[in-house]
Amino acid sequence: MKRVFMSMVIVLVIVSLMFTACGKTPETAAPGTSSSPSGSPSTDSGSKDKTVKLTYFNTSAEVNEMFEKMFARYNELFPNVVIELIPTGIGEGQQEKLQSLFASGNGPTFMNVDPANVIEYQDRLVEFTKDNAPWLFEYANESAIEGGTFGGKVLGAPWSVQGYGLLYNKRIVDQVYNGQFDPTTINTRDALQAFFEKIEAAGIPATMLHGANWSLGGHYLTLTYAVQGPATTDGTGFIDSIKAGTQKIEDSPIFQGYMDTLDLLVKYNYNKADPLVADFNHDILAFAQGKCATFFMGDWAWTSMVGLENFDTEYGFIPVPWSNNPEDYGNTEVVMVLPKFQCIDKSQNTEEQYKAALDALGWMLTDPEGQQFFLDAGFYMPYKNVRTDIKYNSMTTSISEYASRGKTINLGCFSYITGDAWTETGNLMLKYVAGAINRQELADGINNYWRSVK
Amino acid sequence: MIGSKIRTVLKYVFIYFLLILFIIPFFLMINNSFKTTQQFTESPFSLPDNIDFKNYVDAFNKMNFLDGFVNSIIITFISVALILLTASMAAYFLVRIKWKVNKAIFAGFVASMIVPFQAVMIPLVSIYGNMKLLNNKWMLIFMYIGFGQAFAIFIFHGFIKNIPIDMEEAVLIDGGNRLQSFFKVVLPLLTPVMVTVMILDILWIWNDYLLPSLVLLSPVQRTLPLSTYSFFQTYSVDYAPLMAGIVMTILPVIIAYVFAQKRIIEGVVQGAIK
Amino acid sequence: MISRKKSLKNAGLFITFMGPSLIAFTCILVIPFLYGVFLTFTNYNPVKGTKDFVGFANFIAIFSDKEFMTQFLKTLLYVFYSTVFCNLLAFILAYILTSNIKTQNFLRSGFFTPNLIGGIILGYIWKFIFANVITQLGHSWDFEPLKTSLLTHPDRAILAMIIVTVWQYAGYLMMIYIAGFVGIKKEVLEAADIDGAKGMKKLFYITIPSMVPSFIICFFITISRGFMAYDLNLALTNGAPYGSTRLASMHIYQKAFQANQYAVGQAEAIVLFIVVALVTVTQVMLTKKYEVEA
Repeated sequence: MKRVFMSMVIVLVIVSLMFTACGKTPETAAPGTSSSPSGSPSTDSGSKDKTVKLTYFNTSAEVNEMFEKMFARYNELFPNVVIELIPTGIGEGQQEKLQSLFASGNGPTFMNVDPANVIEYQDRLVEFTKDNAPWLFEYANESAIEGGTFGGKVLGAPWSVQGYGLLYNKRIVDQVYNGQFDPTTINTRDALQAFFEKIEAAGIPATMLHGANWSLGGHYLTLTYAVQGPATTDGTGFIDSIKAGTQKIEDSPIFQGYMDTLDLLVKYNYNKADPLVADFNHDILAFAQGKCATFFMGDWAWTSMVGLENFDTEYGFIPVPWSNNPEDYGNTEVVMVLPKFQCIDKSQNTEEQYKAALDALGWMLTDPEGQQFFLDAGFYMPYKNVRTDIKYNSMTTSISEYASRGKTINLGCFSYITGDAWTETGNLMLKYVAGAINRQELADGINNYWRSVK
Repeated sequence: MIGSKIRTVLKYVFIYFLLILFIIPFFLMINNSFKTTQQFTESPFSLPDNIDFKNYVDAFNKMNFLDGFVNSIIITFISVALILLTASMAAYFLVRIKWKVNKAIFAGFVASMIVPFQAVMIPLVSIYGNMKLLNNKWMLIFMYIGFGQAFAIFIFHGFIKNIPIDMEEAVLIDGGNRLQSFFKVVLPLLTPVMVTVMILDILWIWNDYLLPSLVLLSPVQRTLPLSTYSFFQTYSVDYAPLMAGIVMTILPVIIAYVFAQKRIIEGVVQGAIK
Repeated sequence: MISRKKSLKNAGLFITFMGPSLIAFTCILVIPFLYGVFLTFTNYNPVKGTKDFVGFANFIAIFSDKEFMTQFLKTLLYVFYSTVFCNLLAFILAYILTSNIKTQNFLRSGFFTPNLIGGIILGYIWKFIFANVITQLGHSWDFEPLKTSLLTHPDRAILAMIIVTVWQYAGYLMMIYIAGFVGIKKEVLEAADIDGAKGMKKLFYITIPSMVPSFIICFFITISRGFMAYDLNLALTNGAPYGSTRLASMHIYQKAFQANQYAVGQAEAIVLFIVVALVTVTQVMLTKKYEVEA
């Protein structure tokens, strides 16, 4: 018995030794709250010539390289500022990675994130003001600054404008229409149907849906919220009333209209035989080679086409009409959105670090040299001082034409689609597209999802 | 006689058919590492037009291959060596010393193997991150030693149990201590299973993505799998250079395996004879 | 065996043999795990930085998460089939590859190749194979079931998961079974030969019983890995089509990091851990009974 007792004691001693060896007890290991910038290695703020190390978290994985080059150049210009890119994880690891960084007290100094993230992390972020970021207020478009305003504070600096709608391949459509196609004539669902029928009659599949939940849930379904009205609050108010249970989505003619149009897209879908494969490389290649005439997608598709051989370069957008009244909002407009924002963290970075990040951001977004990196990558920047002699790709050009005519859908409510919203409602949309549920079941599912969100 | 011959032939046909199924993805990877992503998407089985190492050069540069390679080597080899040593000693103690608490400790190790990694991930980074111990390859090595214990102990435990105790008693009676008997008698007998655990651990650590991505934050410390991040885009994957990158990443492991194979087989046979 | 005088010496022995292992294990797994358990009683959220005590609220929330329950059942199904087929194939492979077959070393390496590539990358390669390669074959053979990707049918996508799991782990388990086969003492087999035991009889009465340790290890590995399958699930199906192949781990992950309910996800992870622990402990106890002491 004594032996057992002895061994117990020894184990206890060793375990307690290990606890102390491991230092802090878990309780003290909480991430710093918004007010205490204690999380990062304390840099000696007294000496100016000391190197400041900043970290940058990027969720636009396709342009990691662009940011790396930009930061290398910035380091040449300002040798005492080193910016390290923290690339996003593979696939869907982005949110997990960002949360683990903050949980470990290593929150990035600044980051490029979705609007939903700006809302989630708002307590940690630096507010942009005319004092700390005069460049933003001097050069950025007013509407873009408004887009970066959350709860009355400018927390996100906009950097790119993207758009989506129904992309069409000009070569194919011109072939069918003998060069006489006018995209503005597609302003009702009937017109869209006639257009599709004409293309199908020429033996070409009329359209293509990318069967992924981000496309159908995040982009297509969001139209039914955004088109409720031109103001951001029209869309968010609609969602709020679904959450409150005072509104059922199926009672909205806009929802019904968009679903009728979706039925049309499903009918003429190039991927009809197996609609949910959602292989992005594959769909991009098919569209770029003119295997189908239209594609519900955005101008970011261009980035994926650049590396291809023998692909078409001329594209344009047509709206996704939801009714047969050409006057209805949404029938002649395409979506324009600020998909990402630049934010700066103050919760785990020192004042010196976040001030250096403000300077770096100012250079990136408003200095001609900084802007050139974005322009070379094909981004359309919402800043007034961007050089005007740039020739954009045909997709971005088409979006900016709609913008210049004021024909854009305000997707402000997109930032409301937080957390798992687009995954969950997107999955319902996929079920609907695959024919596994009918429209009423789809509507019930969407209503239930929103009611479950607190 | 004829019956057994037919059976032998059938055995070979069966096993080689299975082998083809097993290496097709591997073949696809090497084959397509010489093509463009577009060619890969269009016709994955077609042979490349010509052997062009462009993807390899691209991947080599983009991944910063040499730095990643050195980091991966250091982390993998130190971690695996220390896992094998510490775990085999612990397993020996748990088998040979019949304390009641040992059963509980062993059960604890086994139970830890079923802890979902996601359940310890945030606590782990939050504890060590706030102690400023992350972003350090020695910390990563320490973590691998911690995570590697359970599996290695679990396997060693079973095999040590099968080593007859009288073989050790000869040493112990001669006045040797437990350490001597462990290193002189038990460790050599463990060689075959050590090799197995070693291979599995090397592959695990060499290819691991998630843990190093959480621990190693700065670019200079990236391991090879971390360096492949640049081929993953938000919506898709740039397969061609990725394939080349993966082939280059696993090539050192294959070379090591081929070189070690003779010794591995010897070890297995010796272990079996004794 | 050990006298009382040796207690002190034993303490030294314990520290020498167990010390490094236990320190690493405790710091890396035990403490974070306990801290994780502690967090399930709080509203911890890494985004907001909150951490207030909330009692059992997170565990109660699990019961209102109906999806977790259905996905849990689906996970059980996946674990069952992948365990059975992985082990069956691995055992057959190991049996053939230890029966003096020519080129056995080449073959052993060949079957092991799936393990050379990490899980996430494997998932992407197989996704491509299911969506493009197999459908191309389906069209050229005009064979209807292969024309559409396995991954787009809610019932068949789980089959794709099982296929890839078997493909990936069979070679891994094969290594352990081979070690088991080689480990059987020659004398035992020779004695069996003298007694006239042949073929299947020898396999079932001599070989299999003496390989029980290998079986325990392999079943344990497949069951526990099955319950925790995440990498492959993420890369191969990511829950597609429409969330029908989200296994338990993926559900927990999405709950914690995408739905921003970290503490509920953590509580679900703990529940999963308890269930898996019960299943695997039962399995080990059941198989241990058949173990023959050396």
